[in-house]
Amino acid sequence: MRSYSVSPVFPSIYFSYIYNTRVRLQDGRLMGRLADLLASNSESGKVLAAVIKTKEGRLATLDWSGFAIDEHEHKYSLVCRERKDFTADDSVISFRRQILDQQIVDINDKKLVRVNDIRLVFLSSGLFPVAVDVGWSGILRRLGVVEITNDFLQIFNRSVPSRLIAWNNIGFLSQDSRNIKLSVSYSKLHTLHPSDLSDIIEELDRKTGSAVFASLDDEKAADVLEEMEDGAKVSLVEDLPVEKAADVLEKMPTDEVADILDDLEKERAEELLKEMDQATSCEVRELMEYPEDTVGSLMTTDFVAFTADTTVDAVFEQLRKTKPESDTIYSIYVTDQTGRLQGSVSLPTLAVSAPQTTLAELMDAEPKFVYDTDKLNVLLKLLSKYSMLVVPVVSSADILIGTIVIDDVIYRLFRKQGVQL
Amino acid sequence: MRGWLRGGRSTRNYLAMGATFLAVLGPGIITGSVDNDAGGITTYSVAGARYGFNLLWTLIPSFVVLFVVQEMNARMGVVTGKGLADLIRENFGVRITFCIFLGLLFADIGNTTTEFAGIAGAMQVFGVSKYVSVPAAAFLVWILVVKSTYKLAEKIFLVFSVSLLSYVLSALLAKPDWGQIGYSLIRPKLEFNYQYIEMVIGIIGTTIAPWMQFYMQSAVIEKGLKIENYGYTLLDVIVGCIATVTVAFFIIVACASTLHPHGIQIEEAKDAAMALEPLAGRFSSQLFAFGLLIASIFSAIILPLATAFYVCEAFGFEAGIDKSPKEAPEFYRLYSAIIIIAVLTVLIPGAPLITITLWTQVINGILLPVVLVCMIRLVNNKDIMGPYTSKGFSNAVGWITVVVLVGLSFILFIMGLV
Repeated sequence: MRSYSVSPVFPSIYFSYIYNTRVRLQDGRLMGRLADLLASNSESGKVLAAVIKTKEGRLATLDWSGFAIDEHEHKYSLVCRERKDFTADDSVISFRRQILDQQIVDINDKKLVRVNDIRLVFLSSGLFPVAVDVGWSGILRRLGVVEITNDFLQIFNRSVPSRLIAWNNIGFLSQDSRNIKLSVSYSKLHTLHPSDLSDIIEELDRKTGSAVFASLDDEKAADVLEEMEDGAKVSLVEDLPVEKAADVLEKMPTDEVADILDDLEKERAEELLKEMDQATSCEVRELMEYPEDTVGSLMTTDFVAFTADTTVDAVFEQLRKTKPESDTIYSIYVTDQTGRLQGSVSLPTLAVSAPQTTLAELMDAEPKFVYDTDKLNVLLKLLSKYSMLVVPVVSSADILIGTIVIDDVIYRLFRKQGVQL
Repeated sequence: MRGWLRGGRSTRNYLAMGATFLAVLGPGIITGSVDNDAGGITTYSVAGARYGFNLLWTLIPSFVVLFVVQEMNARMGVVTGKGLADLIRENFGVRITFCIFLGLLFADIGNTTTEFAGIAGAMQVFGVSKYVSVPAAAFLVWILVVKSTYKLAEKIFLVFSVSLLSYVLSALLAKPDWGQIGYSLIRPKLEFNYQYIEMVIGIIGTTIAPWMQFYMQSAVIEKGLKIENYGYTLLDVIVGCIATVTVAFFIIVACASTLHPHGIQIEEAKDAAMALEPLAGRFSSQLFAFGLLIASIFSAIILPLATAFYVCEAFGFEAGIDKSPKEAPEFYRLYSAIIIIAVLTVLIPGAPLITITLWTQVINGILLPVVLVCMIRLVNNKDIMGPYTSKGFSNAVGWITVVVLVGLSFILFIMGLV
């Protein structure tokens, strides 16, 4: 019989070996069964406490330092050497409720997976989880047939494929609402690219997806939201508290905001518009009024414009200061004091020009543009004829009021044809 | 936000009452319609032919149980946003999950075989050989799954639901004796023998098939329904259950008023269609076959797909037709295997289809109480359901169903031994 408590030889075990096994007192009397392990929510994940379901059916949370694991011919049991009560706080994570059998995010593969088992290792400083098993081997081990299957596969010179994900590459998802308030930090998930994150959120159930989304900062949330499918966008905005939703929407291009609000319940959309800052909500309201087949319904009111006497240097300084979204600065526009469109300068032209040149010298003084009330086919003709990436939109008084980026046009066309993106 | 047929939801004009109902209308009605698949039609036809109107009463408890069970599913789906497979795995661990899904997999391979047998039988009535109809149907199923979008799928669902009305017509053409129907409903002639009990379990089992619970819950999630609109969801569940039981009623009536008086015994649904011709006319026969055909094709589309999806969901493999076979190998292998096994079985000359149907019903019968117990425990768990746990009536019906089903199966088992 071997006994591990603070072991010198780094043996490792699976959680399934000890989960639900008997826990005995030192004199051999039965205490109960192991119902759960609680680990530190920090990077290390050190096991802090054991939850024992006692013979009487009560749950006792005890400090892990009082326990040792016995092994006898691959049968494991727990010995409680010292009974020390443990008070769980927010910084613990439950193996049973939040990891085993639950969904987690594989941060490397950017995929949702289900945990079949947890691999633990004994170090001199305690018991630590090193990886989760998400493959067949974990399922078979839980069913108690992994050895038999392996023996069988050996005949064909193969073995049960195992898939382990290292502990520090796991993004936890499962929230727990039991009496001990265990809250999971989504910080690992926040490191993912917005488009990967949006895929994962779409895949999740609505409750968890909304919780992950709500944990993002406004900027990131806006980026993630832009990558979503229409239906999911609406659900997420519905689930967010009004103030937070308004903050996130303010960070998005106004045309996207208008599209989302169009799909929301009227009351909810109105609440959000009121909560947003005055300027943004006015722009969004105007956009929402354009009929579906007009240029106005596609345009965004985000653009960058200067007067003709601005120097290249001053333009760049301004851009550095305001950091606009990249697709709004494909072209810089030149307007007069009243906002009337006078010309356009492409970003490449700006980049290769001397710092003291004024925009008046560089600009295309006869820029191609569309009116906000033009039909979409006018825009399409212009786009295809001049292969433009961005087209400025002016009002009937020639005032520059927005731009249309080719991405949005393509998206709209796809949607019209029912193509799923 | 998730699902095997992913698509955008339209929530436009959500405020208008009628629109709200239409927007949430679906899961219950669609599930109710899928319920009357080839296996169901067969069971109801056999019951009608063998016992006349005498088994009509079983539809009343079936309705109550069906409603209670589906309401639980709808509520769990709306509150948790998780599928039943997810919830079972997360709360009961690998072993129970494995047993349930192994059972479900076998039962659904059997069910799918029955669907293709239904297609073969129905087309035989129209004079088409099964060696032509079954491969053609398999191809149609494949095309619909690979090429269809959610919008198209929903439309096909609705057409299908409407086509089930052909049974109502078929039954009316048979000029049933309404007085006698009413009498048998109020004062049914109960029997206590092996065949009768087997038939009763068969009817309940086919009306409340285990896989439907998984399907119902996913469909509710797919729709993205919210607890604020739960009233409409409830209405949808009721309408769906009424639709199921009504169609079952008319199938039994059609067979009971034509085949039963002449003592014609049948084994399959297509026998019923064929036997109807001299008794109720060619049109009635063809209507019956048409209903069988559509129901079989429809279920052959949904069943294998849904089964593969739930198994993968429970074990954490990627699943869904929006993924490529390379991204979700387990899902596609399972899906293909179910269809291929089913199609080949039907095409083998002299395949023991009736034995397969019988065994499928047995597995379903064992599985149903297990799934029900899991559901009742889940739906009463405050940590999962919050303030929306089940109330007395729902629990009582659930437990009574489990006890009665297990009891009847046990009696059947003992009688089989004697």
